[in-house]
Amino acid sequence: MALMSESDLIQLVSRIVSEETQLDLELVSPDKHWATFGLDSINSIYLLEKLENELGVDLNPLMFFDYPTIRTFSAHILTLRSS
Amino acid sequence: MTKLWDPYGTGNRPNPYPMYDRLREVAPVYRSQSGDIVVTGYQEVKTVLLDHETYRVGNRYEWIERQVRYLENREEDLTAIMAAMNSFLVQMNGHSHKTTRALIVDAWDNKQVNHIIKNNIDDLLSEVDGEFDLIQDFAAPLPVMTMANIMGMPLKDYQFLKNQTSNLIFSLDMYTSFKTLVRINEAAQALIGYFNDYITYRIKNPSDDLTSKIIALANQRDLGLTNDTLISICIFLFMAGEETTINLIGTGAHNLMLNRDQLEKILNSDQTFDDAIDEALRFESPVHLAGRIANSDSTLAGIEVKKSDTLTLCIGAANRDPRQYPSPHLFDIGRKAKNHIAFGAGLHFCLGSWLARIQWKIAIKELFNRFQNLDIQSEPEWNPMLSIRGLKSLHVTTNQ
Repeated sequence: MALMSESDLIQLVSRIVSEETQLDLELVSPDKHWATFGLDSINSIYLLEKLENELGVDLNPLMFFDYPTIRTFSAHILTLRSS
Repeated sequence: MTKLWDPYGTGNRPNPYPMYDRLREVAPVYRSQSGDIVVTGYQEVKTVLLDHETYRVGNRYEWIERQVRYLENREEDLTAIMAAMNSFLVQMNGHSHKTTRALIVDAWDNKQVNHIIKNNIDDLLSEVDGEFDLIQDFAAPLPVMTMANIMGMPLKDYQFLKNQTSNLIFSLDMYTSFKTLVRINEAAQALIGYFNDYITYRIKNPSDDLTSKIIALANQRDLGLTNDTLISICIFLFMAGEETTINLIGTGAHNLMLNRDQLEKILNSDQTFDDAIDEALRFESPVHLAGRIANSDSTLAGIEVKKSDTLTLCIGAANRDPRQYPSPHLFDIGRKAKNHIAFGAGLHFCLGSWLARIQWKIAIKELFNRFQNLDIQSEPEWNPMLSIRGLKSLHVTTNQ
């Protein structure tokens, strides 16, 4: 993870979003709001758990709303890792 | 970019008040990034607390219920949380709230608790001297022991009960992660098991304790409560009685040590003592955030609230609203802050407020009479929870 680029991270988050929502990966755009994929305060919790386990970071559920797209969320995770 | 609602932001845990001030100034009613409506103004919070028709309680229970159902499809079983919470008074509405509350209030006929509290304080304070942690060694065990006494449980169980309830209390917090939910579920299972055995024991061996009285009165009123309901009522009562008072004693003692002139004043006069309790409650409200759900569309301070919206009521911010309290960030027992909303308002007004007050008064008196030079040794550490605010540790020295 430490060496992961932003685009790799975006791909990884997109894959997990696709798995969790059962949407085709090509439909999961990194610049659309989570809600576009049917994600909300309920189903985001398990998604965040998967991401935490895969990335080894602590993700507070409020972060999901602070960074409402895959791209902004991934960029934030990178800042968490570097700090 | 500074986010207006940023409870986990740097520095906002130990001191959320600058964030509340900014938020209240821009919008005392504010739709946050999660879609929830955050209310920081005193009048606005009070309006919601008193309007039982437009707003209901139960936002945590409803959220957890939806979460547990969702996780069932992921083959994760967290149903014990729901079982533990199903009769949490603080999450109940309408008729069931009314009858359950009346059951507890009426059964709780013995308010002679001073000697219980004094004995527990003597036990705890005889163990400390020199340097100690005012929270872990005093403020935290005291209300747990008192609730165990009142409810008739053996005192030897209090450490187990403390450990479990300090996890279960997170069921009432916001933004709970999956890992936290798993921890809450384990605590729920442990407490359900404990209270199942305990209630079964008290049905066979009733005594003069509150648990026995609740069981008896429920039968007498023919309420038809199941064992599961009784278990949940008892878990809630126990947890509500201790988790909040811990924080009131902890932050209260802290603020009095920071304001020694006021400490001296209250130790010399019972009248000012009562003012000090209210100021301690206003200044660091233990129930810091409370939730409501809108039953219908409405407007609150010019903001549209839609049916099913969740509202986060910042009790701690409301009690520091400068429109209500001039110089709100000054700890001043002279202000006589009688109208604070630390115990809530309306139908859900804290039914244990009398116990919190008595316990605070005796705890503070005994503590500072015994250790007159008691002083802060290092910066306190705050708890991670948002909804219940308090200190995790406060190292002090008796200087003797």
